[in-house]
Amino acid sequence: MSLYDIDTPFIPIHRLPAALVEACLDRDLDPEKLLRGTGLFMDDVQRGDRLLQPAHCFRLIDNASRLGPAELPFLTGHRLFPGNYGPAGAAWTNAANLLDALRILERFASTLSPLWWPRLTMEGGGARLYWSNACGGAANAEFLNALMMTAVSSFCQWLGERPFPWHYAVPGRVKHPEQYAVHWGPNLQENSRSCFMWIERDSLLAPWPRSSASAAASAIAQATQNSSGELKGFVAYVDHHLMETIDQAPSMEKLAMHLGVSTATLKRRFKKHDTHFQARYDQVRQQLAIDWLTRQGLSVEEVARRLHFHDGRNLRRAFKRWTGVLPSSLLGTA
Amino acid sequence: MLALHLWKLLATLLALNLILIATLMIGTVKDWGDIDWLDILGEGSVTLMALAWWLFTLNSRPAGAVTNWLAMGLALLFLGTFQDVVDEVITLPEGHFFRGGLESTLTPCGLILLTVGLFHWHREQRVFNQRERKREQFYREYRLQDQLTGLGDARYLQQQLQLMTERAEREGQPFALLLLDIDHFSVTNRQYGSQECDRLLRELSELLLLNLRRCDLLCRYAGDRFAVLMPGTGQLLAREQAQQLANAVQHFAYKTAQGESLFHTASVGLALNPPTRREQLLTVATQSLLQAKEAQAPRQAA
Repeated sequence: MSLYDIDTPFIPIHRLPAALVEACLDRDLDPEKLLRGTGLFMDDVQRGDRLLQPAHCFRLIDNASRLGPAELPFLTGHRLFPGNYGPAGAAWTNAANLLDALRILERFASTLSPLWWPRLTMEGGGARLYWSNACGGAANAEFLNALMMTAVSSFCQWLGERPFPWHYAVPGRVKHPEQYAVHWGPNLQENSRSCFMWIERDSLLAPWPRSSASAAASAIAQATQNSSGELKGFVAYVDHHLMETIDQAPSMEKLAMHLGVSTATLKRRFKKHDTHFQARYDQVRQQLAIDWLTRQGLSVEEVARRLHFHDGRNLRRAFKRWTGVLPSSLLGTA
Repeated sequence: MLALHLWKLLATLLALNLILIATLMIGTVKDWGDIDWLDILGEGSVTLMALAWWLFTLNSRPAGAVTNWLAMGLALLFLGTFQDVVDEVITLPEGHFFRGGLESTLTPCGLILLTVGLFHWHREQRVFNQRERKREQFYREYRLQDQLTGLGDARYLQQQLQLMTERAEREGQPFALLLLDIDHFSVTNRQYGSQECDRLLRELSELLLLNLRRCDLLCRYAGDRFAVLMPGTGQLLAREQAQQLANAVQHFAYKTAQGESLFHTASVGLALNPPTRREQLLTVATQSLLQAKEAQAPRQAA
């Protein structure tokens, strides 16, 4: 497993950056203002052969969302795929059905969605695709949520040749509800505690007209050889690791040891991504707490024990600080 | 825009120089102690503002007769006030034309020309207002304009809904909100690309404008969804209008860059005030639109 940071140059400019720039040019944005401070030139975009750091992409998104119209993340999302994503993209395009497509997206996320990390969970009634920070960029969360969720639902609609009844949940209140209403339909939940798109089981397994099993298999084999499936964003990796090792009482020191670096180096690495250990740890514990309390129906005392709180009172207090409400108000809201 | 007005800029700069040189030749420069700085500050700021008005006007207007009137008026105003500042630092001989006379000629002439210009500008604006009426009714807000179609956006629609509700209450008139959405737009977007779709939206907005009454207002809500605000309209009339718009869209043969004809159908949702309250209008119209989509195509187009 190798990790990329906010300053690792590995994102081909012809993917998300070019799609965003093209959408901006369609809306008559001034290219000079759009690329200001990004270190990019229109030449690079047209040639399409440069590798960008995520930081470059975040600055581009900053500029675009400041200068562009409210529909920009949606327009960009509609044109993000199929594009040229190599074997991972070919595997995705040849997915057998919606569930297969979502699994391929999660597996090759470092190629298909390197800036914004998808995580698939299967739960009772359907599939849930969570989106979070891969390697910083939390300041652009609203833009990236809108962009990536539009990209996934738009591309799946094209592959399946029919629209799917997605339900969406985003944190906070959206600034332009009309854009969401038109591009996503009526099923949007605002002020959610995490960002995800959810779909019922019925839609997951119907075969897709464009799929080819053998093309998909060879593409997956190639993509796996390229080891793009092994690459992961630093923040996404830390979140994942903390979640996996939650029963071993994670700490800064244990994480540093796991990554084979000193705690000082680890601290600097967190700072580079505009976050810190406690923030990641709290984020993971919050998600697990919500999950265990609502969907698994564990008691507050039990959740407190598993998340290494001294007692239920401490968990209640921390929970109130993270989410603004007490755990009791969540019971039965899955 | 400034490049359109090169000769006006040059002529004014030349006049500025001539006045300066002539004043220097005739008069003598004052001592530091004799200069009244308060006067310079006051008159200087008037000069600078006249210059700013002149530049703004030139930079925002195409060439033409109305622009010439405005530009000449503001230029004379600027020159007059400039000369006024200059004679604060240069003593001119008593009784000479340049002492007071020049300024008292230039400034009033400038004001007269400016007045003529403003009068014609007002007439010109009336012509434009006629044309823009279905886009903005009687309220203009350039920040709330959709870049693609030049129509008002969703926030502009919200403002207009507010104004319309107030007016409807005052006059006891009903009004209708109509949402119109193109069917299978995303398929066209995938097949023909975003640039064709942008042009399609622009042409559709023109088409819809043509099919509206003078009192109606068209906005681009978002994406491929348009909103029409129809004052003094009850249920029957609103349904008729909705059907007419849907028919117009259905019969519109959009030509792609390759010359291929594309046809689209549209689904329409309606909400009426009364009975629906203002805050609920958009929700009700959206629900009605989604029902129409469902009925129109069982596959439900997004």
